[in-house]
Amino acid sequence: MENYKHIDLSYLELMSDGDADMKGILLDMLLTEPSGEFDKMQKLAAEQNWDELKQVSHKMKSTLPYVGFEELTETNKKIDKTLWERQNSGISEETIAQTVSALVNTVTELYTKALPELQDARNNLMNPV
Amino acid sequence: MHENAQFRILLVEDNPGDVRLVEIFLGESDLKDNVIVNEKTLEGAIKALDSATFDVVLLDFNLLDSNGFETLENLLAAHPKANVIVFTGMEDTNFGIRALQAGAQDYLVKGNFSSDYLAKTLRYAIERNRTNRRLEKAQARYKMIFEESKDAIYITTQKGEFVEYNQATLDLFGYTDEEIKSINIRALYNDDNQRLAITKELKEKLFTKDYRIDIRQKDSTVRKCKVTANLVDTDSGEIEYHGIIRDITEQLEAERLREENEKDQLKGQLLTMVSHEMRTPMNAIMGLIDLLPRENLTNEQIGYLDSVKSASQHLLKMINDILELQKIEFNIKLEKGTFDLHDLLMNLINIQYSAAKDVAINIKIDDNVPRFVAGDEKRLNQVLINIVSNAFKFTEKGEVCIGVKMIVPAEDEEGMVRLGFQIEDTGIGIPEDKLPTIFDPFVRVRDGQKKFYEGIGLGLSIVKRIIELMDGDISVSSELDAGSVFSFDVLLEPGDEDSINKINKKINPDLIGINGNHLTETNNGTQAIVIEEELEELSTKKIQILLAEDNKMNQLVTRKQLERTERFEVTIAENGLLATEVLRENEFKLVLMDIQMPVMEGYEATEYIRKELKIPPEVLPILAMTAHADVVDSDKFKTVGMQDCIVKPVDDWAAAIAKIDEWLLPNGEGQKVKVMV
Repeated sequence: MENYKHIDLSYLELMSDGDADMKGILLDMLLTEPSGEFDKMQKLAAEQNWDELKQVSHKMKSTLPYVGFEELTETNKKIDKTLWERQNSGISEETIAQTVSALVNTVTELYTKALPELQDARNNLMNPV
Repeated sequence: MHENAQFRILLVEDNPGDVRLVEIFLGESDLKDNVIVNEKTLEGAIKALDSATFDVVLLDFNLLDSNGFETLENLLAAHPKANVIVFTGMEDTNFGIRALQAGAQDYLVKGNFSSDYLAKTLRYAIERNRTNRRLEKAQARYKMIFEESKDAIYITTQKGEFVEYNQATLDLFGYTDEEIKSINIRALYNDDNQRLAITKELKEKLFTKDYRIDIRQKDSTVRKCKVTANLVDTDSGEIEYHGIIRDITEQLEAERLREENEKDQLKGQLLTMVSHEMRTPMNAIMGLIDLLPRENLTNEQIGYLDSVKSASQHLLKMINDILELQKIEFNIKLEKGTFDLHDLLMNLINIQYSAAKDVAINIKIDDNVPRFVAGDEKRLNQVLINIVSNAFKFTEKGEVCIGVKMIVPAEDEEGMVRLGFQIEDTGIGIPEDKLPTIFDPFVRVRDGQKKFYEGIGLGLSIVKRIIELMDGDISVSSELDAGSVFSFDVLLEPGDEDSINKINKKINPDLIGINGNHLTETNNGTQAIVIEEELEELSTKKIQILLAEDNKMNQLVTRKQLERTERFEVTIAENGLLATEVLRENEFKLVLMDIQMPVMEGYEATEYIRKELKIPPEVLPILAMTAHADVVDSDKFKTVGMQDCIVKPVDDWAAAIAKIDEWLLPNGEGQKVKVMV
């Protein structure tokens, strides 16, 4: 696969075991599913519904490694970690709200940057020549 | 004695004047408050002593029914411990001495004593008598200790002749009472230097304590002992040795064994640690070999890969065997649960059956063997797999027979079930010189070309240890080129069928003979029914895994990675609740359980499976699959009934599959046996 500025699909390659069909399915999933999840995260952050946001972010932890965009993966991990440790961290609710909202904005932006590259990878898979 | 204590005095006197005299004298003395009982005859005196205790007896020699010394002798014959003061009219010193020699404590001459003298004589006699009683009791106690002591206690002369000794002395030296009288203790030292050293120490210090010596017994056996002795000057001016010898042979042997055991444990811990460290990379090597694409490789390169894999499997088996032996040696605790013996044996056949070999397999179960028993099914299975797989390994043609029978339990095993197993093959046999050590670690058998069969020879050591833990024993007989017979017995408990919640009845349990694709007769004449399709199914059936996971990508990748091994078939449940519903109706060999899922999360689902569905871990291992790093650290997954944990995202599927294999069939057998139903 091509070298991209943001994404690195070697993990996806490894997990699909050289199976082009599987790569296609995984790329399709990466192109469609996270968008909805990030929208949901934005909404939940605005509502300060930390419990549900925590669940969504946690679920994304095992999805985002397939994108191979380290900054995106790590930012999502920060959201997950902040929310899991929220009650014992001693950090005020206001700070949590600001931090998490900023992080959610960041993951959304990063994912937006990754999208064209994911789309390109998907196109190349369909038209390898 | 307390000053104001009241004495009881028996006055045996038929003369009323003398009786009155004594009463007056005592009334004037400090003994005036004492009890005086008067008897006029010897017969009356003896009766009085029969029925009551007296501190002293004042005895007149001449009574109505007895005269002279006979009076004293007869009274002492009836009451040897009576404290008697003779009360006589004869003023003769010789008479008094004779009375003392006959057993009296003292004597008084009538008309020749004062009030004070009478009181003093009585008091002295009473105190002397009490002192004697105390001495007698003390002597009796020490005599008992002397006689019952397990240590040899003895007195010898300065020359070494035995003067006094207890039974333990005879036991220690091995001589009879008669023999020891003519034995000199010096001859019993095994090392004369020890004897000279101890003698020197005794002469210098007059005592020695816990001196280590070696004693040579009559039959020349040498016992390791400790002696404590004193050199004592006797009243007669002779010197004696008083000694106590303790035999510490067994104690020293126990200490030696304990030290050896500690060293073994240390070696074992080291071995375990090293083996653990080796197992992880070995699993990774094996898994990575599986992951390598083979499409573009030459046959030669594929051959290299197969060799690497085969060598890795061998190494992993060895590592697992070492770890298993260590575990059994030091940490094992047997589980107890009811299981179906028929199912266990049928699964054994399924695993061991190989259509490629011209070897029949037969099972003979006696009619009186209970089908349901309680014990450690996994360990019994381990034993059987080990012996039966050996039987197959060393048998190229013929048959392997597995027999099960009831053995009459011992008296103290009432209510238990002792089963005898016999595994007989027609293989290459075991050389006679190997038979005595076949169950020792690292013993291997060579084939005809003097080449060792694979393995490091730990399997049978593990088997023996497990059987011993089940209160059983194992033996083997063999003839070269004819075959071997392994027989063992184990102690189990009767099982309750109702306590088994999951019985695999896919194969008719009455099927007890498979011979290639043909049928064999069972012991009770039942013809086994098995069709070719079923046998085919046995060799192609895949291990059923249930994946509880809501993330679509994880579902896809996990299924892909497991099914590409061609050993697993994966069923997916979108959440914990669905997983429990699927498990109600279907059998799986293992569950991969995501922790965080909608509707019902992984912990709750696992608890439901264990508590409500009552499926125990030995039947269905559940491995957590989680992206929570703290789950792995906290071990919480174990407390709810999961056995292990795989961290997501999985970047090393080879290691993950190795972990799954470990739980499917512990002890590394999962690597070896690809077909499992």
